[in-house]
Amino acid sequence: MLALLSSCTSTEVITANSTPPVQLKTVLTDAERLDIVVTPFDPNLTALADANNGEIPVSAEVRRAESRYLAFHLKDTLEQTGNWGIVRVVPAAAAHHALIVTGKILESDGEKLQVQVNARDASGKLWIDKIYEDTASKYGYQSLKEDPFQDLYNNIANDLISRYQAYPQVHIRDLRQITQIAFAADLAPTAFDGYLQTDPRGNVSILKLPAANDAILTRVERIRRQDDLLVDTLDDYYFKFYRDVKPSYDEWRYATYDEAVRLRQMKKQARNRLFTGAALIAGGIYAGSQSETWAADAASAGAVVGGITAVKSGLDRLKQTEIHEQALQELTQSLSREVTPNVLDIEGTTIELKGSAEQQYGQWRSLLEQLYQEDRGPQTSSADSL
Amino acid sequence: MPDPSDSSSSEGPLIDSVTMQTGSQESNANAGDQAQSPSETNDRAATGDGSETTPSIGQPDDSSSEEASGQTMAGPSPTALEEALLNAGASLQVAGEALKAAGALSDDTDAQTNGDMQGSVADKVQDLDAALNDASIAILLVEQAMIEAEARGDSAGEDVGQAARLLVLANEALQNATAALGENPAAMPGEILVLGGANQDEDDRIAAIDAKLDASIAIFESDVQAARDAVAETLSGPAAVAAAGPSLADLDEGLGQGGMLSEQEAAGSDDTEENLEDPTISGNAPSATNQQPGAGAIPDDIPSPQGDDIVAKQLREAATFEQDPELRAKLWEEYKRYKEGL
Repeated sequence: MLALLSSCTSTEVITANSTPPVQLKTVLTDAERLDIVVTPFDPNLTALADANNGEIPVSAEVRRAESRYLAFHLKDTLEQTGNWGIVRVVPAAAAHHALIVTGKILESDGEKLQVQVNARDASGKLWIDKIYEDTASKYGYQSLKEDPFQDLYNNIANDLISRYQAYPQVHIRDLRQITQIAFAADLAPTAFDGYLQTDPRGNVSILKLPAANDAILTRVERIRRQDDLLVDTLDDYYFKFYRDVKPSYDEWRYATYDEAVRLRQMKKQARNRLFTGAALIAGGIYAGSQSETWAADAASAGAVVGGITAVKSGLDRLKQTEIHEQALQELTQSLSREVTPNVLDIEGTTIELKGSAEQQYGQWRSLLEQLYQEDRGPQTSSADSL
Repeated sequence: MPDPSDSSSSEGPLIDSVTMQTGSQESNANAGDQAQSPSETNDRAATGDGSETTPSIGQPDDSSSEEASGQTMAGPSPTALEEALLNAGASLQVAGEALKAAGALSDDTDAQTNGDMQGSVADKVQDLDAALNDASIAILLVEQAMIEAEARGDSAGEDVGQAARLLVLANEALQNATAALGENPAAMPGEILVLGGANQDEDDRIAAIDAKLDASIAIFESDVQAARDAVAETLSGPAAVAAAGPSLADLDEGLGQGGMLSEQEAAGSDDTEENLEDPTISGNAPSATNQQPGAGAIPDDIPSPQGDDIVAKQLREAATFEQDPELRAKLWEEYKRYKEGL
């Protein structure tokens, strides 16, 4: 998107700005706001071999960094709209998250970004499942007031809010209850057995609600606050990663933008010229074989020569593309070296935090089970309410 | 820190001594393997060097007593916290004594047949329960004092923090020993057993499990908060400035400055200029990455950032990175007012 601003000096200042994301005018209450978790995007490493046979070289390390970078940037975009509750990046989604956004990187370099985004809520409803693509403009790199692919993130945000508005508030309320019960059921499965039902298609519905003063639920809510604290902490580490990687990653995108554009152009020209040249040669040879006059012979010879020239030009172009390919590879390798420590750091931290949390949750499950058994005593069914 | 009693008993798996040490220690895990999860988590934070430690149960550790008696509070010592620690230590000592006394009577074969002595056992059990409850309460007070000390920005010292964590472990160890005295071979690991058979009230059992749950939650919260403080310290340190290059210098202004559209404006307005020049929300988390933090630490009376929504988060970050002291103070004031309203 280009915005043209003209001043009294008749100087044209062309700035590149994204399509702004929609911000709801109505003020949402806390109960109406939906919390979102975004997981690191799938770096799509299995497709790297094919990707590296294509135009732009791809690095596994860069993709791993991008998987977290893109996720955090999407989280930040969603948060900035103010349309949602708490938006966090987490290593993995769970059944008690109200709305889960996942993504997969299909293509990513300085010029193009293509991701497949999927959003599903706690009841199993699919909000979006779509491929988003954006191409950066050179103006976007000349004045980096925003991410060169901010359009892509804004489009995702707009699609999500559109889906939100399409659902009745009762569904949003149900989601909050489902997440509460799902979390409780994970920690105290015996106590909350039969409260939720999942059909074969994965849709979750509420069968019954726990009592407001349910003793086990009260304790579960205490634990949930700890889970929220853990999520906040993990998000802070992702923010640190984002901040540390950003300068190098932006520089890489800026540097590879021109190379990527030229490389694509050159390959296209090379293909065209080779094709044209081959066609001319073939046509000239055929015409020569059919000609009966000197002029016709000369014309066909000219076509052949023209064709050979075109082929030669196409081959020269291919050679030049190698230079750009090499430049891109070097740039990508340089970025890989810079971001790998950050990637290892965030991977190690999230594994450690998650691991210790899982251990603790195991103990809590046991304690809650004991409490539940003590509470119900010799009764065969727990006291619960519909 | 008061010396724990380290007298030993040859009668059954009693806790002979509750040792309180600072620094790394190695001990053997015994009954109550459920306690290993929080203890491992706790010990990672306590030792700080990744070595795993577990509470010492039934293992007299005479060598530690000298260390315990010789340990001092390093650095500035908040009075309320020290007092809470001392009280908790004393409560645990009393609980240890009560446990020893109850255990001695419980193992006495005469006590199991003599009706009068059964009454003494029951009295001792009651005393033990009361002592354990007092110890649990004292430990909760320690945790509260630590939270308040951290909120004030007091430097409690590493030793104090480790001592507090060890207190929680000691409390768990006492409870596990209480369970072990029940000698119920059919009991599941980690299950709170009934001392003296079916005499213990159901409420007491639930209270014991609750105390264990509370203690583990407190430890987990402490550890996670410590991890969060560590990353917050990194984020508020010298920030990574954007790489050189005139076009990249604009990154200082952050992302998402293109402005927001309301629903109605997005529906039909072409006035993109106006919208772009009037962002609804200015600044975001990543925009702070290229700013230097304001001078001075976070004021003592600033609440924890836990549960901050987007507005609170932006206020907090704006205050953190504001260079002008007057404006920074106003931003912190605004943050506090907003948090109170949440």
